[in-house]
This record gives sequence, structure tokens and C-alpha cells, in this order.
Amino acid sequence: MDVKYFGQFLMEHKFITPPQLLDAVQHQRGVNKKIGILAIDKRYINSQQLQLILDSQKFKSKPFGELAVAKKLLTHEQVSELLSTQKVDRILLGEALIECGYLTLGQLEKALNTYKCEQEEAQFFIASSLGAMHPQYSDLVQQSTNIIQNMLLRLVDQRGKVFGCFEKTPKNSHYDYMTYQEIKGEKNCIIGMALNAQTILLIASRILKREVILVNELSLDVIKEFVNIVLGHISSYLSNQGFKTEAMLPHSMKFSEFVPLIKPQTEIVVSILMTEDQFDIYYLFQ
Amino acid sequence: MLAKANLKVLIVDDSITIRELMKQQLKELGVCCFETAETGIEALELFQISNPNLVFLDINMPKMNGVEALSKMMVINPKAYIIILSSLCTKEKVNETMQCGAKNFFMKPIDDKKMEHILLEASQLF
Repeated sequence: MDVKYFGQFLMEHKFITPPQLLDAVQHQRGVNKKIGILAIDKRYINSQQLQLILDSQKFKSKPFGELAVAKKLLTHEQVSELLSTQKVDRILLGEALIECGYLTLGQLEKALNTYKCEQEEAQFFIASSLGAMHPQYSDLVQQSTNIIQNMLLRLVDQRGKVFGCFEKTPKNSHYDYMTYQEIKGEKNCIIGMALNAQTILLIASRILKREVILVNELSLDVIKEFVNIVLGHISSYLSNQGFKTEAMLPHSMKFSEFVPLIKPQTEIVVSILMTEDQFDIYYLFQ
Repeated sequence: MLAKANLKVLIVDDSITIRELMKQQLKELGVCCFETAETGIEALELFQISNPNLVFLDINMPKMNGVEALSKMMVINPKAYIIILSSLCTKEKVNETMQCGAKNFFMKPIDDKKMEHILLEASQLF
């Protein structure tokens, strides 16, 4: 039993065929316009200016809006407006399939319910398998997974997918920033969180209850707090097990500048990897 | 008894997120007078100058940690009403801070119900 994406699930359960999935994804991409295209549609910038921003994005891992404002091609207000439009018009795969006529609303609801049940079972199975492989950490895996999943549900409306390290190789190119925090002492642990800029802005906006459009000290601090809360629970768990540990302070940096910290004495590593549409939680025990 | 709106609150946390969220939460609960500090050292200075009615103190901070700041605050004012607010809730930390004179220990984030209760208790003391 493994964790699947919704499209894969729909094909395997014969709700749709592969060409229908491709067609719906293309329709979804057409509707879910990138912010640069929306800015052109609104005539805030022209195609040359768009290219200028996209070119600078290749060298600086910053969100489009932030670079456009820095280059004085868009104002903060225009970026906020474009982000709101993007959010309102955004459609999910299920909606795209209905709009293409491949699923009815009833079929989608039925598929979603089955998918959710199957995913929860798969998650439980993975967490249990990890726990069975490392019995001394079985409760820790269950508890910290619950905490992370609850926070993800609250902040990005989705659950993450759980993996044992490294069943799947993370694609480092997807991430812009890295935040990590360490527990040192009788047990050594690292909690790391890699994200792209858009996800940082999404989480910061949710927590601060206002639209955040810049990756800055404040938005990165929000991510540090996310890591700090997860680490706090793990640290409390270890304390209850009788281990004396000390929590270090969290650090954030550009992903490109991050040097992996896992040492032979690091017993527990929890990595949370996030992009807008993919949330993975990895555990490594050594 | 002091009205909630007149309570002087000091928030001590190295995280700007927590400081911002707590300010928002306190404002929504009717508290108007608060100061914030980023480190234990800054907190001590403000504590001496402002003599707050209520202090929310984080533990894990750079320069001077919360336990050290708590001990020094209790020397300055043994009746200080100090609540520890931390993401780390280990038995040792709870025992250590309660022995140093903290009134209570909560894990972050603190919900409105608990916050209301703390504000009520603190306001009854002044």
C-alpha cells in the first residue's frame, strides 16, 4: 500500500483514462494562470518586462512579485491584486475533470471519499511500518506525524505524504529556503524544512492573517516557528522517555547555501519538504 | 482589581512571529498596553523600567535565555506575575521555571480561553 497522487488514483480505479487525465491537466494549466501572464492580461506589464523578471528569477530564488516590485515594474498593490485573482480563479484537478466532462460531481465526490480513506490507511501503514522497523521510535513517528499533519491541514489544507528516508529522492531544485533546528544531548535530532518561496508566503499569510508578499525576516520567522513547534513536541517526547536533551535555536538560509548536517551521532532526522502542491515528510533513524 | 485594558503586559520572545501573534491576540482580548522584547537582556531592561503586571517569557532565546531572565526578574520583583510560554515542555524545564517563581508554564501557541484565564488572574492581583 503506498501513497498516490489523486490523478494516479483516478486512473488506477478506472474513473478516467490516461488521455483524459492529460487533457484535464492541460485545461487546469490553462485556467491556473501564472502571475506574470495575469499581469500581462491586466496590461500592468508587457511581454518584454515579463521576460526581464523571469530572467532575473533564474539567478535569484525570489517570488515573481517580489522581483517585479524591486524592478519597479509592479506595485505592492498590483501584486496583492494579482495574487488574489490567482487564488480565486485557481481550479483543482477534480474541477478540471468536471469542466472537461470526464467526471460528474457525484462521481468526483465518490472518488474523493474513497481516495481520502485509502490515503489515510496508506499513511497509517507507512507510519506503522516505520515504527515497526524502529520500535524504539514507533510512538515518536506517530506523534510527530500527527502534529505535522495537523499543522499542514491548518496551513495548506492538505496532508503530507510520509516516507522512510530515502525511499524517494527529493528534488532539491524545487526548494528556495531551508530552516532547521537541532536537539542535542543523550539523543541527537535534526528537524529540517525545505520550501519554495510561494509556500513560505502561503504559510506566513495564513499564520499572520494578512497577505504576505515578500520572503523576508518575518515570513522566514514564521517557518522557524513551524519547525520550533514540531521540535518542541519531539523534545518533550524524548524528555518523557528519560533522555536529557537541549534544543538549539532554529536557523534559516537559502537552500543553495545549506550544507547537510547529519553526523554519525545524529539518531533522528525529520525532513519536511514543501512546494505549493507537494508536501513530503521523511524520517531517517540511524 | 485592575481592568484588563489597563494591564501592562511584557511579551518576551525571540520570534517576531510569536510577538506579532500575541500582540494581535491580546488586542483582540482587550489589552491595550504591552511592550515586547527579543532577548532576555532587553526584557530585563524593560522589566526594570516599566514594572509590568504580567510577563510572557519564552525559554529558548539567544544572549540570555528565559530561565536566567526569570531568575533575575524574581530578584528585582519577587511578586512578578510571570508565565512561561515555550514550545519545549520538558519535565526539567517545567520544574526549573516553577521553582524559580514562574506562575505557570504553557506550550505555544496559547489559545484564547487560556489567555483570558491568565489575564483575569493577573488583573485580580493588582
